Amino acid sequence: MLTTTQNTMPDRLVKNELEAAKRTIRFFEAILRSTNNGVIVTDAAKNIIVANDVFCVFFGNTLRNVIETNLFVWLEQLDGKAGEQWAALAENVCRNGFSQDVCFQKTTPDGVRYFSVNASLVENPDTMEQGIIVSIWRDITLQRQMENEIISSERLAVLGKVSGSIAHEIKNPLGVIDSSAYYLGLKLKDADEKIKTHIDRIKSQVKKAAGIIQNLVDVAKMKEPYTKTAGIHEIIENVLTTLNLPQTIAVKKKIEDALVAKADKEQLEMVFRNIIANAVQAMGECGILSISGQEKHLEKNRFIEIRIQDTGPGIMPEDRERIFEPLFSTKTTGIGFGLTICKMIIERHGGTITVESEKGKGAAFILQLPVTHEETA
Amino acid sequence: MPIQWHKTTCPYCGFGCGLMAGVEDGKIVEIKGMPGHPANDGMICTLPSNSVPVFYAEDRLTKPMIRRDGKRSHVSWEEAIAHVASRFKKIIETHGPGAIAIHSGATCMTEEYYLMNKLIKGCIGSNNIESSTRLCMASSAMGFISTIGADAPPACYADIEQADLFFIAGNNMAISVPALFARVARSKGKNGAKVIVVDPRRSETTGIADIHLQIRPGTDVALNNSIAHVLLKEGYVNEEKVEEYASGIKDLKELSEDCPPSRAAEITGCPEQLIIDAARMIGRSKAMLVFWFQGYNHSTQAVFKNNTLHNLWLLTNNFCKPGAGPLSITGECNALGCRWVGGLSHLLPGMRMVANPQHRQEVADFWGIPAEKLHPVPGRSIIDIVSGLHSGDVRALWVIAANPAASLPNTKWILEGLSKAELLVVQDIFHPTETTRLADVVLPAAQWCEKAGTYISSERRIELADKIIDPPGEAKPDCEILWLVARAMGFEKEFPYSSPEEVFGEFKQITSGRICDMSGVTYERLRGNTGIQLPCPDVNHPGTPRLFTDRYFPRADGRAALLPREYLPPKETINEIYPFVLITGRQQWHFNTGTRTKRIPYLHQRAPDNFVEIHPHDAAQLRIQNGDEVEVSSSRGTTKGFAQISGRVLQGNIFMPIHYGGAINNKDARLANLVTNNVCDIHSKQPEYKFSAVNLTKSLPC
Repeated sequence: MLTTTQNTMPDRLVKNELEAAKRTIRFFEAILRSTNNGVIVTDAAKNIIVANDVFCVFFGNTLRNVIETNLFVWLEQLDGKAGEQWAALAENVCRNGFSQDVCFQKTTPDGVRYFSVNASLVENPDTMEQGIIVSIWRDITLQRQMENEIISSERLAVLGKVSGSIAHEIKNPLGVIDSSAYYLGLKLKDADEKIKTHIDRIKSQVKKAAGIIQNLVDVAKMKEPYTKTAGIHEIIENVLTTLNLPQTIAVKKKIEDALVAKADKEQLEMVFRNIIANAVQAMGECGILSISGQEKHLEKNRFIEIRIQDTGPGIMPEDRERIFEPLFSTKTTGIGFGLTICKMIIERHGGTITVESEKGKGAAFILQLPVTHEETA
Repeated sequence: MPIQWHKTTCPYCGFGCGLMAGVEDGKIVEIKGMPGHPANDGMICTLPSNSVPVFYAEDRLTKPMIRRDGKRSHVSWEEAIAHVASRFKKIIETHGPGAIAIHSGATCMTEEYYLMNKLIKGCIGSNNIESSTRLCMASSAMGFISTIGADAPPACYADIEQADLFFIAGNNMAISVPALFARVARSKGKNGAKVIVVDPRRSETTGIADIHLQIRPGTDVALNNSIAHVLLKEGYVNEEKVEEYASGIKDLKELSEDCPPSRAAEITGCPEQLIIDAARMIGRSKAMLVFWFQGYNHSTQAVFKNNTLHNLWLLTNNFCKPGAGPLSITGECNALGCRWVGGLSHLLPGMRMVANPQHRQEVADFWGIPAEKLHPVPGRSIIDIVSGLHSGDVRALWVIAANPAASLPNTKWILEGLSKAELLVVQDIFHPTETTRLADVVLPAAQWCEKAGTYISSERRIELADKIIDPPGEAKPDCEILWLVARAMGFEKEFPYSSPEEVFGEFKQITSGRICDMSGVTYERLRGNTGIQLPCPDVNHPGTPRLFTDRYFPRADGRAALLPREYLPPKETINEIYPFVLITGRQQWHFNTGTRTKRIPYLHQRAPDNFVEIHPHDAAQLRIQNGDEVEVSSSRGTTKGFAQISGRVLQGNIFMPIHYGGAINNKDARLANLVTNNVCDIHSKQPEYKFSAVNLTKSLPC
C-alpha cells in the first residue's frame, strides 16, 4: 500500500507540472504566430529549430517542411551571396551578442522582395550548447518601393530644376548656331556638295539637340494633356508608319476598330512611339511585335487596355522596377527619359502603365486608360 | 609455394564483408568469403569473388600522364606532381581558393579522405570537396541529422536475426547487397519474420515479401504518412511513452489526420487495404528493422522520405533494442568513413559541421591554423561544382577514384562542364574511364590490397584493409599521392606523414568524444581481426553494437524529432512528349559505372549491354518486341538499350541499369544518365536519378 501512495503522489504533481509546461509552450507558440515578422531560431550548425509561419511563407513553404532543415538551404534561394552575408552576421552575433540590420533580397516571379534581418544570441541556461541564434525577418518591400518612389520623384524635381536652367542656357547658343548655319547656307549656295552636306548636318544635329532639350523641359513641366476623342487604331498606325520598322520585324495587330480614348493625341503618340521603338531595339535583327487593344471590364470599371509585346531578351527582374525612373537606362546610347515621359503622360491621363517580363521571353507593356462617360454615351 | 591467405574487407558495397585474399608468388589468385566474419560469415557475392582480373587487367595505369597540345604522354612522378602543384597554386593565386574542387569516390580509405580534407579545407581554404556519398547517402545523413540529431546509424547486423519484421523500402538488396539479403531471407525462414517491401518495381527482393507495396515512383512520403495515420488511429502508438523520447507527436497527428490510406492509395496507386495491412503489420511488430537505399535518396524529396520513415520506428518504439531500428546500408564500402571524416562540402572531420563556429574552432586548433582559414559557408555540392565549371567560378577539379563523367546525371551537361575545366586531374587505377578520357593529368593509383587503410561499414565497424601485394609499375597509394602534391604546394609542415597508419593516428584524435570516437582503435588491434564497432573511446573498449540505447538523442532536448513532412510530387512531370517515367538501378553483375566490373570478363559477359525494362502493355502499344533496340529520350538527351518486356515495372514506367558508359566495351549512347535529371533535393543536394520524364521509341534500323 505504502508504495502505491508514494508512486501516485508524485505522479499527480508531475502531471500538473506537465500541463503547466504545455500551457507555456502553447503561449510561446501563440506569440510566434502573432507577430507579422518572420522569426527563426537556429542551432550552432544553422539548423532551424524554431520557426514561425511568416518566415516559411517568405520562402513559399510551410512550417512542416522548414522545421529541422538547414538555414543555408533557404539562404541559397536568396539573391547574391546570402550565405556569405549570413556567415558574417552570425560571426557578429557570436562576438557581440547581436547584429545590425542586414538586408537580403529575393527575386520572385512577382518582382524583388526585400528583407531586413537582425539577429541575437540566445542565452539558454538549460543547455551548454553555444551559438543558438534568434533572427527576426522583416519584409520591407513596400517600404523599399515607397523609398524608391520618393527617390524617383526627388530625382524628377531635381531634373526639372536643372533641365529648366540648362535648357535656357543651351537653347540660346543652339539658336545662334542654327541661324549661322542658315546664313552660311544662303551665302554658299554655289558651294560644292560636300560643304552643303556639312551645313545640312549641322542643321539636323542642332534640331536633334533642341529636341532632347525640349524633352527635358517636357519632363520638367509636362504640359497638361489637351484631350479630345482619339482613335487608338489611327494613333498606332501613325506611329508605325513614321517609325519605319525593319522588314524583319513582323507586326501582329489586334485592335478593336472603334476603340477610342479621351486623350491628347500627340502625347499618346509620343508614348507609343517610345514603347514601340524600345521594343524594336530590344528585338535586334528580327522578332514579332504584337499590339492588341480592347475595352475591358473589371467589376464596374471599364477601361481601355493596350498591350505591346516584343520577343526580345526581356527585362531582368531587378531592372523591372527601375525602368520608369528618370535617368535609368540599360541601353548604351539612352539617356533614360523615354519611359519616364510615357509614365508621366499616362498617369496624367488617369491611366496606368505596367510591364510584364520574364528573362528570355520578351517584355510586354500594358497601358490602361479610363473610359469616360461621354464616350460611352 | 602454397597459397597464403590474408584477411581483408570487401571494396565494393558498404555491407563490409570479411574476405580472404589468396596470394601465390606475390600475386592475388583467389578471393573467398571469410568464415566467422560478423557481416557475411563466409558468404561472398559475385563481385569480389570474380575480382582477381581487376589486379591484372591490361589497361591498369602504371605511369603518370600529362596532356600537352591535345596529346597525352607519360611523364615522371616528379614532373607530374610539380605540374599539378604549380597549376593549382597558379589558379588559387588568380581566382581564389573557391576555384579549386576535389571529387572522390566513396570507396576511398578513411585516411585518404582525411588528407583530402586537410589539404583543401585546412590548407587551401576551400570547402569544395565532394565524394560520391553525395550521390548515395547524403539524404540519409541529413535525415538522421534532422530526426535524431546526428549522422549516426544506430542499428547493427546482429539485429537481423532478432527482428520479427523487415521494412525494406526503395531497396533491391537481393542485387545490391546479396550477403545482407541472404541473412534477411534466412531470418525470415528460420524465425518467421515478416517482410514488407516498398518498391515501384517487382524486384528480386520482393520475392521474399509478405506484402509488396508497388508504389508509383517518388510517392514514399505519402505512403509513410498514411501508415503513421493508421498507427495513430488504431491505437498502435503509446503516445505518452513516445513523448518521453520524441518531440512533435501533436504536429505529426495533425498532419497524418489529412493522410488517410484512401488518399495515399490515390497518390501511390497501391490498394488502400494493402496499405492498412502493412501499417497493422508494423503496429504489431515488436522488433522492426528498417532498410532503405537509393529509391529513397535519389529523389527531390529524399530527406523528407527519410524523416517520415524514421517517424514509423519512433512511433512504434522500434529502435535501439535488439532486432529493431533503422539500418541504412551504404552503396560504397567507405561511405560512412567518408561522412565521418567530413568528405562532403558542408562537413568537417569528426562529425562536425562547416556552419558551426565552435566546430571550425576545434578543427582549426587541431590543425594549428587560424579559425578564419576555414571558410564558414558550406562549399559546392558536386552538381554545383559542375555548374561552377560551366560559369568559370570553378577552374580546377581533382577527381580521385571516381567517374563523374558517367556517374552524374544529365551526362551531356556534365561533359560540357568537365571539358571547360582549366585543369582536370584524374587519379584512377585504369585508363580509359569516361573521366580519364577528358583529363589533363592522369595519376596512376594503387588499389585495394595494394595499399593500406581503413573502411567503416554500415554498422559502424571499422576494419583494416591491409597492403597484401605491390601495386603495378609506378602506381602509388592515394595517400602518398595526396601528401606529395600537398608538400609540393608548400604544405610540408602539415603533411609530414610516411604511412597511412600515421595519418590514422592523427585523425583519430579529432574524433575523441564524438559519436564516431576511434580513440581506442589502432592498426594493431585491427590487423587480422574483424574490426571494431564505433564508438570505441579507449584501447580496452570492445566497441559499441547499438547507439542511443539510453534513449537519449543528441538534440537540444535530448529527444528525437517526429517530423511531419508534406508529400510533394517529383520535380519532373510526364507529359505528351515524355509520357514515361524512367527509374534507374543496379544489376548484380556490375558495380556503379563498371570501371572495375567491365574489366572482369566473367561478369561482363553476363551483362554486356544495357537493357530497358518495359511493361508488356506499353510494349504492345509501341510494337516493341523482346530484344528490339529501343531509344529512351528526355529533354536532356537520348540513350539506347535492348527491350526487355516484363511485368516487373508498372505500366508507364521503364527501368534501366546505370552501368553502361562508353569508355570500354560499349558504344557511347548506352548510359542511362544521358537522360536523367540533375535537379536535386534542396536539403541534401542529391540528384533525382529515380524519376525522369522520358519518351520511348523503337530504334530505326540503320
